[in-house]
Amino acid sequence: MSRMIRHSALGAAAELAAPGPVEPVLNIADIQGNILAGFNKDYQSYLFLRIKNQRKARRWVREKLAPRLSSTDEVLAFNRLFRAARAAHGEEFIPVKATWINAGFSRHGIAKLLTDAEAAQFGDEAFGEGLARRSEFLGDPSNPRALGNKAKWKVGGPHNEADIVVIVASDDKFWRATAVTGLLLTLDVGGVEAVYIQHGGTLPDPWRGHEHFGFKDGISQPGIRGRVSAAPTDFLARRWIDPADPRANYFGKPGQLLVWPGEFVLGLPRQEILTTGVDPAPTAANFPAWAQNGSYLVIRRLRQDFSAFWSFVKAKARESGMPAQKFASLLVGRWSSGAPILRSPAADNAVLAADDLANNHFQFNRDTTPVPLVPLPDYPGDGFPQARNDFLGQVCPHFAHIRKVNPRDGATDLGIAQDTATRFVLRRGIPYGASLLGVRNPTPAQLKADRGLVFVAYQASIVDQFETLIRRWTNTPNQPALGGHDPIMGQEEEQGSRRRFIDLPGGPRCFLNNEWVIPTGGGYFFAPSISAVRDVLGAV
Amino acid sequence: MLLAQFDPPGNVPDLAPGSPERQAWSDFVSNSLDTNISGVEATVGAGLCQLYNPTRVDTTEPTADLVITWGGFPMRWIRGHRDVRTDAWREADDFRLGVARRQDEYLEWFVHKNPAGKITRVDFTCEAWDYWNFLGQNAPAQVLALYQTHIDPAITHVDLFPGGSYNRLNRWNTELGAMHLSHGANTLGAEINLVAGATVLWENGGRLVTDPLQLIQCGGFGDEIRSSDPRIGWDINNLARLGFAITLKNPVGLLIDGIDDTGFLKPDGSPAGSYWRVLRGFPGGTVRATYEVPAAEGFVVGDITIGGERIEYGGQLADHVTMKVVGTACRPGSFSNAPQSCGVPGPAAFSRAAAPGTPLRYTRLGAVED
Repeated sequence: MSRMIRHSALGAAAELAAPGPVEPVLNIADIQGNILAGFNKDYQSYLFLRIKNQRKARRWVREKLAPRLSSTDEVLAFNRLFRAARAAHGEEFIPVKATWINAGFSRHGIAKLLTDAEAAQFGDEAFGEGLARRSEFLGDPSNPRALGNKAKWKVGGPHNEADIVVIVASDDKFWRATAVTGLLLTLDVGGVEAVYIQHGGTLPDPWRGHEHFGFKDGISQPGIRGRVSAAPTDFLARRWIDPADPRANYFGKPGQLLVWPGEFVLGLPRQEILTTGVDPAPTAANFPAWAQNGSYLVIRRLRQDFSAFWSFVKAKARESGMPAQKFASLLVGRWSSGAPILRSPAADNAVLAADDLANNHFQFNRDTTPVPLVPLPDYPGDGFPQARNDFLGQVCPHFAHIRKVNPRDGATDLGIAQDTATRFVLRRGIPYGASLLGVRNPTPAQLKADRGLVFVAYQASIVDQFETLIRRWTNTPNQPALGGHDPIMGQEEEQGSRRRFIDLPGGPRCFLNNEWVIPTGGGYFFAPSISAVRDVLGAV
Repeated sequence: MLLAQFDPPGNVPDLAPGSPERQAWSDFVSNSLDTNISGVEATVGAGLCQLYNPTRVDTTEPTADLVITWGGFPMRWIRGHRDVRTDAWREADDFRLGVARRQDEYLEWFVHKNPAGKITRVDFTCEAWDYWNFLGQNAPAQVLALYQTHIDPAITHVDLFPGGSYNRLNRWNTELGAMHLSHGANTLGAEINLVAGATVLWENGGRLVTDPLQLIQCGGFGDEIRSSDPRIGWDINNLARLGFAITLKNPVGLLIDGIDDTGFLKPDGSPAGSYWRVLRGFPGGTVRATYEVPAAEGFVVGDITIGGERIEYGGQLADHVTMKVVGTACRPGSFSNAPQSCGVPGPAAFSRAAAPGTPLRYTRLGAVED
């Protein structure tokens, strides 16, 4: 018997050299820009709107909203310009700015603008139900008196659900305000009203890019397959690995798995989960034709209790005899700088954290080896210690946030590791509220102030992606591997019990008796193509 | 320390302590281990199999238990109906006279409905059918008593033993109930065989194979379309690569770890109560359980919603059940076996033939036939 093993992204490199698959040309002029390119703006606002009058609202969508929507090609072009300007002038004096707008529509919003039957053509069950009806399923508190109960949400609860969300993002705070005001002025005659407005912004330096607990956020994102022009190598996700290395077919940057775009945008080829090959699986078909090039959008307003988190960390660190930063890094799986603890177990390493070609290059369950790169004259190379096999979770515990939401090369409760690539989401969130990082002796008022994260994620299936990550992995102590709940995102709501725990490596079971990430709003939306917003939802 | 005897799965009290039947069961498990160890040794060399029989070889301290978990609803149907989950639920809820259930993650269930078509109860079992074949041969009165207790008091001996032999695909274990696992692949022998095969190290092109899918393709120790087989095999192989001596924790068996009923809501929107009852085994080591709303509550299982969706299929509950097996590892670094080449015959050549029970035939996405 002869067994021919095909390539696999996740195991050891395969023996066959093969050309990469042909990747589709993405319709970047029609796909909203925040989905595939990411706005990455310092100032963002989320306008949650309700439709009052179908006829007027359709006209508003067509005439006021659709023309302002930013496409992927606009964002990509600006990002290239921005990088060039930053290289030429430095971080402090970048002479280019932009303001982008994108939008999403809830199932009820689509029903209001079109018909209920049209909205029912979306096959994703979670989208059909809406976030409020999925709240307890996600582990949110069922106790009506709890802060995170949906009845208390700022937006998205049973009585304040939004039909439309508009995302306004800018490099400039005043430009953002101007754009928001301009949109709000159009609402009254547009048959649309504001339910809630959430402003967000990156934290001030040196914490820019970090979330409120102090950890660098958004480091690990999938590489999206697909080209942005007909040129054979004009890829959306730049390829950094030497094409002679078999891993070049599977990774953009080292550690950045390439994923077919249909996992994030409807109507495009998606990951094949029945083989180890790199060829795609056919697109899904459980949506109306006009939804092609659109994406499901999950927004969760997550309040962060800085004091509760760091009080817990400091107390447990003392008990465990380790520095608080070290203990906190076990909870996240990265140091506050973003350096992965698997590559720097003893102490934080800001240089590693800043190296995008090294800070995501590791696997959990085997020794990681260096990857040859394409020629990069200014890059000194990844000389940091490589990650060692940590199958038993002795360095990066199984409960660590980054291991929970992306178990990488490991088999999971859902079977083969290839399945994990179908669970990824594209994260586009941003903090809200004033930062306490670096604040000495904060006042009680400062400690009580509302701050947190506007969690934003795009995907092709809310059920199979966002909800699977949450329900199966962050919220359970034994999946993808036994070791405890995700101490950052995880919730427990089993018949009213909210008891969570983590098993410290070689230590005792540690119960998490307080909650520091509390849901306070959000919604399930669909971000259609720009033409669908204009010609279908805005049809007059 | 040597294990004196293997206990029945879930420590169920079917076989009296000290009885010849209980020893016979232990011998069955022990022989299964020995057969599979011999099969692996034919590949890796005498004395080099990392799986050991704890009744013959000491388990030495320190030891570590490895809890291996997976989802109870068949991945086969999720992948086969990736975009229409309802079709997956429907495929799995198929109960036909004399036909094994199409539920192949070592968890099977049976759905009871009221005249209105609403689900009133779902019975879950993970009791392997080779254990029940053993009971049929060694404790037939116990088999009848268990059927009468858990399925129907009116069942008679001849219903279960037509012609004198136990019929695992009898009416009360297919069309009318689920007393134990019925699927051809859902055996304890298959579990032991899988674990044995997974202890073999593989190389491909000079590199050690670590990917779960490559491993199962090299070792041929299970079905890659499931959640369970690649998960179990990969976890065990990781221990093997670390040089551990490995065995299955007594009592050897497939277990239900529990149900996660987060987000299960009563018709009034409040959280559903504790409607999961362990009937055989113990919490965390369950082999039989049922989900049923007490009559006093005034509603039935089919009135409960999960994430806003009403329960219409047993599979919706199975999707919230976590399964497990527990391995025990000791003597880290005591093995440093050379990996086998993936291009030559290995344990796959012996795996199915050595497995107790009927030889299996797999189809890509359809039912596993036996």
